[in-house]
Amino acid sequence: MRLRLQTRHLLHFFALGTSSVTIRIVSLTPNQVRHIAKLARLTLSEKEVEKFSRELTAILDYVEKLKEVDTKNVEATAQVTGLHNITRTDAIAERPVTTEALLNVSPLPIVDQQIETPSAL
Amino acid sequence: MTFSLTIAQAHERLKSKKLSAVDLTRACIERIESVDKSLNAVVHRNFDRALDEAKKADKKGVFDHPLAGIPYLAKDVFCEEGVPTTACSNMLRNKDFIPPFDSTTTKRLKEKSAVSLGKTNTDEFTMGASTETSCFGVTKNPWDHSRVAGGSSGGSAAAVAADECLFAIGTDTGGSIRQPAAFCGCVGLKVTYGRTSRYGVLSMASSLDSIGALTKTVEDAAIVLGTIAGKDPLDATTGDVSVPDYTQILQKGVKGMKIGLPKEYFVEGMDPQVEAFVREAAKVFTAMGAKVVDVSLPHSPYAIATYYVIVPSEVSSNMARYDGIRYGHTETNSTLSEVEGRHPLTLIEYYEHVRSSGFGDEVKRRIMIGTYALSAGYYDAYYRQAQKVRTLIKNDFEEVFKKVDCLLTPVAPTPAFTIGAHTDDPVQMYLEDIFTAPINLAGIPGLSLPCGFSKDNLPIGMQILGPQWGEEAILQAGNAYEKATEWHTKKPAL
Repeated sequence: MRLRLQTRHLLHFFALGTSSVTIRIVSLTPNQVRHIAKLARLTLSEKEVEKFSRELTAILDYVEKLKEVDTKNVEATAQVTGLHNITRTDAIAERPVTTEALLNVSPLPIVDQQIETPSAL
Repeated sequence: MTFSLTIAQAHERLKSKKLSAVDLTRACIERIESVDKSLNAVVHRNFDRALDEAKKADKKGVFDHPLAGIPYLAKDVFCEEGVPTTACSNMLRNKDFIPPFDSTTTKRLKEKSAVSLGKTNTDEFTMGASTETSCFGVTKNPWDHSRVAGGSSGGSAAAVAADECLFAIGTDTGGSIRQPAAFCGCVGLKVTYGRTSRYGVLSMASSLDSIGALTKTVEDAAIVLGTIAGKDPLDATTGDVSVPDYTQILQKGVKGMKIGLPKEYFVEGMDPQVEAFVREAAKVFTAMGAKVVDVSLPHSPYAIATYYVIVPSEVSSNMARYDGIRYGHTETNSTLSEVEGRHPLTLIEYYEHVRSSGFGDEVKRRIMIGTYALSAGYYDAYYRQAQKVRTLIKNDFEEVFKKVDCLLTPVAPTPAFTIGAHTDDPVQMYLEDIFTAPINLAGIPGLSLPCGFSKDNLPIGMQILGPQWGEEAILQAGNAYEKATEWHTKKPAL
């Protein structure tokens, strides 16, 4: 498998250097990685930023090959067995678990059947 | 040995009272205690409760259902009421999540008096192909302790291969049941998307996740499937499709069956031993009266790229729930402010602290790739394009199943690899799923079973694929192969 991947990469660079086909190498800069991490509510050390920039770039570079596929007039698949709009009667049913049992799972203090979280501000 | 019985064999003994559920359960417990220190397949032991359940089953004395009194292990992503469920992540590690309810699968097994022994190791939140991302450490391959058991259901596969239980349940999003089954030399069944309920199972990628069984024989897989399959009002994506008695169709054989060999699954770079054994298996089918033909699934080369856009996108959304509020690890606000030595954390800082310290690197990678792929301006180029290519991959399978009943392919390009071989190269690890991920993208069922051994005495697996809802055909073909060969009878020396 390693061999195949390297061959593909070679072809990739070959295409860049010699033909008119434009293949964009996606590269995530450290600043982009910091921004994505912020959106995803993660904090990263500087060492992690460097590591993830490299690894995420390699992954994005690999998935670039999807752009070669002609998907004109192709519908997107979101539900693979063809289901859509599954509805049920809006009837009162016994819940499998109580509110108390679910609250008990929280690591934070419970006050008046509510979870006390850190302040939003 | 009692622990090495199959479900069918144990059932016969239980029914005729030659064996008690307690003795059977005790045999598995003793086996776990003797071999698991070196394997690390079982991460939570529920032995007292298991023995109580077994006692109850003996007292009741009714062993009509084939799973009554049969001990099993569940991958540590199945919620079981009162049993710690960790996804092998530091996010939920220290009994941080003790679910107050049962997954539909464990509930259905409980209703038939199957005996839950505990939980098995998995890659963190099922993200991996080697069980190396588990916070509890890697599961060793029972055939060679320097190698991985595969993943993500590596604990379940190793436990079945090492006779620590009679069967195990697992999840398969891109190969996570089939690849470890192949690496450990047991049977792994990935069902049609929606054939089994996902309710109460910690989600990875909701449009691909499926629940299935790891067993010692194809017959056993049919027994477990018949018990856990079927529509569930708690999972709206389960199909309203009848569940046949799978054990009744097993003996039908493959005479007249048409089996396709997709050329894209025999590629340069794969281990020639794997290819040779799968082609050898094709000859066994021919000898039994099946017709084997060459077919093509032209979009296969795009499957991994498609998969590794769709999965992280869905992961980034599914992992958002781990915010340390409803569940999550237990550092409270006050201890956090002490650690930081400054003002109490704000809510956002709290989220960031909980998530950064709770999630491991592979989970972070997927969350970030998904966040990027779904962000404004990139959505069409990544997620939407991947969903469209997914349609083409699905269409390839639909076309080919107009011509053949089943497909026969390798499960993984190589036998079990050495621990640490891919840990520094995520893309290389992703390519482990090259023959298994397309099956999840198409939503079809796949059965992995042993078909040979490498020169290093490592199991090699093959995969039989069927059309959506076509579990019968693959179980039928798998059973016929198993009856004609002896690979499944080989056991690791432990």
